[in-house]
Amino acid sequence: MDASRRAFLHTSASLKAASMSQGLGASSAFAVSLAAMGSAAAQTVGAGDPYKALVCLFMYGGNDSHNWVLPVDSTSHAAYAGARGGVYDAVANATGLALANTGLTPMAAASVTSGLQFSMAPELSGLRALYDNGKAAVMANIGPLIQPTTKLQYKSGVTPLPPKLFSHNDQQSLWQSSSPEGARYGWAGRMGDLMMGNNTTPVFTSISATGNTVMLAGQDVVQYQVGVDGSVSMRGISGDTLNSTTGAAQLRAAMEDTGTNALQAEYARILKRSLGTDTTFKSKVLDLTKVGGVVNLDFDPRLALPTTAYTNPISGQPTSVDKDNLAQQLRMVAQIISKNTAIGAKRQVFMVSIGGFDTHDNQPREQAILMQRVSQSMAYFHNAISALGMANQVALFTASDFGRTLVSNGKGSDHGWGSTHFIVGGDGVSATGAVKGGNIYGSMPPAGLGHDWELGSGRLLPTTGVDQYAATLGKWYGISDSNLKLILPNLSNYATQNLGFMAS
Amino acid sequence: MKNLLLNASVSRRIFARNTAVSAGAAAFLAACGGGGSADPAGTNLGSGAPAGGAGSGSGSGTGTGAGTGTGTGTNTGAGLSTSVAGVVIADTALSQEQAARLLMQATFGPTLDTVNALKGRKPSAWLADQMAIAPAPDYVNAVQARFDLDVSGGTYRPGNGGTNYSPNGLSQLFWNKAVNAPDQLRRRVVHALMQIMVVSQADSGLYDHARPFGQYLDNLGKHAFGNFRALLEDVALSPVMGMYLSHIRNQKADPIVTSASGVTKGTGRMPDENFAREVMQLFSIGLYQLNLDGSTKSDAAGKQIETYTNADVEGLARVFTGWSWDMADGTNANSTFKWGGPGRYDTTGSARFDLKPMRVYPAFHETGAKTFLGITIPAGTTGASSMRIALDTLFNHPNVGTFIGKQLIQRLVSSNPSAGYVQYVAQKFNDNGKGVRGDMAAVITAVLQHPEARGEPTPEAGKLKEPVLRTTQALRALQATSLTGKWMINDTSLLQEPLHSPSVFNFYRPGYVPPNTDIANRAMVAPEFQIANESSVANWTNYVYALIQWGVGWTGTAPDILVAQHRQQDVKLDFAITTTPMAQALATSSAAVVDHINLLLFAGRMSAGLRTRILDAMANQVSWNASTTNPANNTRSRDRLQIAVFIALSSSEFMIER
Repeated sequence: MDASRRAFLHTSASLKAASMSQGLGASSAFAVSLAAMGSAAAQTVGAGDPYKALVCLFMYGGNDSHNWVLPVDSTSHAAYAGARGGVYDAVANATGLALANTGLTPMAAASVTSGLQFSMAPELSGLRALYDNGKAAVMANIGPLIQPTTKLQYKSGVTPLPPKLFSHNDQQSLWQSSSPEGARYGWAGRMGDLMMGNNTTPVFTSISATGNTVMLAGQDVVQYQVGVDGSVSMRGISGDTLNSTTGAAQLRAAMEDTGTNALQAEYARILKRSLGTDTTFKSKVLDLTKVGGVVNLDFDPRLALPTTAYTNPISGQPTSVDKDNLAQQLRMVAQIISKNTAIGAKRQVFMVSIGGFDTHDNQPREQAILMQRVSQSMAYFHNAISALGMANQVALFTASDFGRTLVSNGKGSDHGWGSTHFIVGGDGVSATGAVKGGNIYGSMPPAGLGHDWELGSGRLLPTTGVDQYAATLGKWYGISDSNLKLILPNLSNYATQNLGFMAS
Repeated sequence: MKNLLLNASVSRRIFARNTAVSAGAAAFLAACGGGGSADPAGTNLGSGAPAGGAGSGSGSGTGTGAGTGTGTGTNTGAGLSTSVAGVVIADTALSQEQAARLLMQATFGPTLDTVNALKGRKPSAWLADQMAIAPAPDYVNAVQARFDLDVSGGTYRPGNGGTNYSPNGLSQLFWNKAVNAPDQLRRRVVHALMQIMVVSQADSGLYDHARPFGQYLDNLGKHAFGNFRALLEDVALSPVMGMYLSHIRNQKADPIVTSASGVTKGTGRMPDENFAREVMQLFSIGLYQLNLDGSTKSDAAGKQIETYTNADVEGLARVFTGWSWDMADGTNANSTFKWGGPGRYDTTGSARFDLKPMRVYPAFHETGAKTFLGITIPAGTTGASSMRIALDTLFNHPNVGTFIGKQLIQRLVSSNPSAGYVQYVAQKFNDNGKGVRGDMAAVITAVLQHPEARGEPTPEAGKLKEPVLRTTQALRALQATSLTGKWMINDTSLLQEPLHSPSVFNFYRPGYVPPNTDIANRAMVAPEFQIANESSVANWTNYVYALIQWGVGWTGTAPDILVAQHRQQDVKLDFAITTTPMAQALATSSAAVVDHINLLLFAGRMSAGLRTRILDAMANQVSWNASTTNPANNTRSRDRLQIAVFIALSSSEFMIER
């Protein structure tokens, strides 16, 4: 055990050295890592503290957020539209990417410089309503950074930068873990590590509705993966399987045999977890098996998915929220949240995702439906959680590989860096709720090209780092300041460690 | 060693044909160019000196004169019994178990026949036999055959009125050939390449384009033992890749220019960077400069060195402008670039231009200078020449042999090859022993002959079997049959539906580290674990159970399915047939059955513990079954075979191939 622990420490340090190779030397990274290992202490949630959950919605492919929150005052809009090749029109200007500002009501945003006005794309009406009601906040121009960085510092190379910028898989990993692909744990998983001791069923601490993800992996906590219909039961694991009286027992033993190599041991561990949690999940959270025509343990009726049809305004394609896989993932998350008492959970982290955001091609058409899906799914989730009476206990936040270029390639946009994100939660009233909505946080860069945060083709240098975003969420979640610095390796590089969009 | 003559000749017809348009392009784009010579000189290739140098392939008359070193390769035998950098290739006659192991790595799974045929032979002889089987355009032919089911009505073609059209025939043919075809090695290599140079039917934009998608697969087969340079070219110029990574119909930049009189022109449009980025990151050189053995190079400060910057991506993106469908000669116009295409694949589709590489439309190709990876293609260079220089530059980058070679090892043999193994394969890529760079036959031979593939596995050796390979191993070993003959397997619950990768990053990444595991603690990677989770592992057990009990793959009610075959499971194992080798083994003893399973599904490495468990489950039958007096009773025999197979295929031990 000691030997493997040492090996773990060693490899952890060398991986971290690799990830921070742009600036910090291996020795300082090693020291940081050792410190993290040594003193990140589990935290106890007080008896009176309510249940809380963080839910990450990851938009895979890199979301072009330039059109999600766009400048609408005439000067800024002209700069924005000019950089995007003009306002898109299927007939008159098929290569333009900009949205028109006509009919777009400016958002109230106390923090925005006087004279500048922003609004959201019409397809984001659900999200916009949450914003207007104080239940959604906007986070401006955020992305992975090592430390605050100016354009001059970026160009001169004197400031350490995250590795492998503009690369999908690596920037996904950086958002989730502060390290490129190959990272071994993510910041939500590390929050899970600190909080799992408060949950009577620790396996339900860190839950993915969307497959394996480094975001939810901790050093101790293991992410649990669940489908949109709950856990999967295995056939043949009980009874006289295939008419053998010992078959079921031998089958289980053969599945759980860890063998003689690390690969088999890990597969056996997943099988064992799958077998072990299915019974609990089915009895306490969800079991859609029907007996005599009756579902054993159905979804909470307050979580029903809307069946109202809506139309992609450009393709004319009809769809509805109940058919949307993203909304279905969120329903599964809401169901687990609704059963927090039954499973003895005090702190949980979740992840859901949606793909298709790599809009090099067909962007105007595809973005319209992606916006609708995200907006309506987020609105559904907030309504469902509110119906459970838990609006102030759950925060749903977005993330994505990177933002995109402002400039059009004639069909879409290319890989960028900083982008706009959203945080949804709270009842919109309570000062001690979840999200302090109805405001834009951070710093909206000037519209168009050629400004201090534009790196060419409208790629944005982030004005806020992901570590700050995570820390703000973590602070609300109950992670101590000292622990936040340990699980977010770059946090100490920022003067502002709480961005203020969460109640505290 | 004999000459295997492996289809390594490099076609240059694309460049030869397109050269004709270059002069016009240069003239048209002079206004946009950045000055410089209109002569597409190849002198800028200096940084990419061909390692092979034997190439005669580029004599296309384009005047660029850059020897690519792709050669007309004959070869491969050379490396079979030689020693490179201290690596000794034994190439000795294989035992039965060793034969089964090689067949697990190099085919879609051992069968009793293939094991017996390979037993006693040397790996080199079998590899030579396999590589000598000529590739055939199976996928295109299969799509065409389906189109032709209704020649006049066109109902089997895509688009309006094509009510019977389906692109699923491609994945069905994949399963069919994986289970049944004799050219197993080529198909297994195609399966590997398809996970490196990914295009995917999961992209709805490719729905109508089954025929050129089939061509993409056939091309991977054509080059599987050919030259990597030619493979890279067919990949880059595939219209299906063009649609998937959006460089088809990609246009040159349209900068905003303000004249002296204050008139502003241009939209500011930049070329699409999608393919330019991924061809470097995923298909050729990767993100970091590599040593031959796969370790990353470091600069003086100890930092890893990135292979390219975003400026390189922007520069290379300019090469991939102006490319679109190559419609019939004489009909290509500027409107074709933007709007032309195979449409319904009906009357005009019969010209089958969708099977040709994309061609360049000079009006849309960037003729300004293109700077990337340390070279500059001068302003005025044609699209075809620019493409050739770009692909030569990528091909000659020192990373390629290591970057691609290591991934081929991971797909065929082991997730964590030693540095020496990677280096050996990379050396074979760089020089097949006859001065030819990029000889895929030499690379594949090296992957499968290295001592780490053939010798006793080390504790770190091996890999988690992909769901697809688990399935084919079971179907082949257990002699599955297809009711319709179409192998209509279409499962998605195992998270690896053939030809349906969720993105260009494949179903899993070569560098995936399952977080918070002993694998991670040992600094190992395990790509296939990216799709192993609590749901998918349970789904595998249920999939095996279904296969054993009922079969898999729903026949449905499509009009080309016989009515008698509607609404059934298509692919089945028959445990009641007494003539199967396994049933005949049962006539001897339960132990003989386990021996059979051990050989074909475990390459003879089944643990004593698993063997005991299977025998115990076989021995303990429910009383009404066990008391059956007739030992040949089919029910009893079937049940015993079924429980043996169920436990074997569901075991954690079966999942790992070592």
